[in-house]
Amino acid sequence: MDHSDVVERIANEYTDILNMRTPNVIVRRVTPNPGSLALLEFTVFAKTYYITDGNDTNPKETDRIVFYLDIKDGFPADKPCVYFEQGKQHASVNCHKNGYECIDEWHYDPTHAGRNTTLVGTVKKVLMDIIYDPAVANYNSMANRALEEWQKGKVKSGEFPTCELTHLIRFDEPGNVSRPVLPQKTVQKKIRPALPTR
Amino acid sequence: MNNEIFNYIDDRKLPEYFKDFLGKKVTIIGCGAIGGYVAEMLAKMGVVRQTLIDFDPFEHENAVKTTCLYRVPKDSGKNKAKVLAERLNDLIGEECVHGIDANITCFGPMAFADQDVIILALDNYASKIYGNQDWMQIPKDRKPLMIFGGTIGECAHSNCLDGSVCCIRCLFDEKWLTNPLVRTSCTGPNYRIPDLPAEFARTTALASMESAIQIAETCRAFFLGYDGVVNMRTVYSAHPALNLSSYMPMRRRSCPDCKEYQPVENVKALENIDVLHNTVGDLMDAVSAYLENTDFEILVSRIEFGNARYSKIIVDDYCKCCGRELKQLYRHEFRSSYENQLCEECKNLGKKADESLREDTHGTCLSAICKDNCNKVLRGKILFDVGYRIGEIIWVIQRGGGLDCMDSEIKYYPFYCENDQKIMNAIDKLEG
Repeated sequence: MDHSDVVERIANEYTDILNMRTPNVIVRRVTPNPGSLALLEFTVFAKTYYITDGNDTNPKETDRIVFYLDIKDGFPADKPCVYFEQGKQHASVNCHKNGYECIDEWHYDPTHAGRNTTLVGTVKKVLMDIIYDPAVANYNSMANRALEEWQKGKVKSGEFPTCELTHLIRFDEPGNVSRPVLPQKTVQKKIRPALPTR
Repeated sequence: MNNEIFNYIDDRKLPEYFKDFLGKKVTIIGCGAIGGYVAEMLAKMGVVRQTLIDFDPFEHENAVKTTCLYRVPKDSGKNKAKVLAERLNDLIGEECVHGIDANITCFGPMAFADQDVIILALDNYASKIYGNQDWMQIPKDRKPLMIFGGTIGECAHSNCLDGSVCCIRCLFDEKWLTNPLVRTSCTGPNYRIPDLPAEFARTTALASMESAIQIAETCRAFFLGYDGVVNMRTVYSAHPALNLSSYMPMRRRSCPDCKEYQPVENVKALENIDVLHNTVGDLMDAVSAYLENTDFEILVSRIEFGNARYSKIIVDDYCKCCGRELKQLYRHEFRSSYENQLCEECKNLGKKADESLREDTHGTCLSAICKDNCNKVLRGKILFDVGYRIGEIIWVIQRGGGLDCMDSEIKYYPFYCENDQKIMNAIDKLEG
């Protein structure tokens, strides 16, 4: 994929993410890590639980949690990473002990013959996991199995999910978010070579 | 080259035009059933400047399908490339052929630039695709011809491509590349996935020789200037068909490599530097001198193998047996398997990795090296040891002053270490 196409895709997905979320999710572009194209910071205002480190098995309640979507230089062939801020990692069977969220299989087909995972879909999944939507809890392949009993107990007692999905994700008309103005392309489009003549 | 080498043609009553072949440079990757025969036939027609690459040792049971240059049982257990080079040099009478005990994955695109022909005589699709991806990235004006072949039962084929019509992967079915063991990591290091056990096809020395003959003949025709052999696939069907056919292969619309890998133009050579002897610090200084700036990021080597991508350096990790911290490893993901991430104590005691720890302990990684994250230890690391391959195209990025890629254009600068090509003739063995 041409670099300018990659940037355009990121910009389009960023716009879609902004349109998808409600005001309870604040999205901010922050300084990327070395080797990353972009880093998005998500501040989520919803009832959820966190642990302070990988050894903590006593989740604490909070109504605000922060995660980052790290888009690497090799995107979309290289999958993005999602991680929570240190000291306040999401307490979930889908979140590893080091604070990285398990975002499942990443599919990229440069020929677009098959399905491709999107950033929007990834963010949606993380938001659903934050409120413990049962559709995303993966007990078959747990990133943090120490929290399995705790999470299942909460589901059984009716405390999970902690709120409606519409608290975080908009299902009505998209908002009027303008797409970022991208830098001017300075790279010429590659010319497809002519097919050999018979 | 010593002028006496010309006697090689005259003394052996070989065709005069073979003298023109004496200066041709050929790299043969894979010295097994097909590669061994090809090397022999090319040497016997005057193509003496060969580089042979293989990581496998010659085994007694290989003898039934390979060239008789390998001696049984004397050469059993020895590296194929080195043994074959030695035998060919004995034949030629001069040290012309160089053998390297290494995997193809130790080499990047520029290791093969400026060769006349690359011959892929490999037995697994993952390696062929890797070779294809390297070859596709070589700048157009320095791109060698690619010839590869194989056998299917008693049938033999060879393919000669120059990159203008299709690539190697266009000729493959994606189903052949499926590895159920592939899974990408959500977090931390993406350890090297074990290769699937090879499925050995039943074939014969006759079929291997037939493929080798086709490859050698293609080479000969190309060196003589017959462009008609380029972008052709030749297939020989054995008895009862006894049929030899040729046709032009076509680009596959769904070929991922054609989409993802293009010739890298404007690659700049960093002088007096190579990945085997110079450090990360040397590389940073060389790039800094070129860009006249210290504000840049050097991307970590990106390797795609067996449909999995490895693009990070593991900085710190945990022993997969006892859980002890392993600090300042600076090892590339591709060179790190989960099973081998052990502390010295566990290694010495012969302990094994604990699969149950896989989800619990995760290392930290780097995707790019910059002045902010390059400490003294990393600066002192040899480039090859942190994952940069011989002939790697090293990408350096400079952000345009804005916040991220959506804000300002990120500039990409491709570099390679100029001395990498020079040291190819001095490399004996590489681990990686």
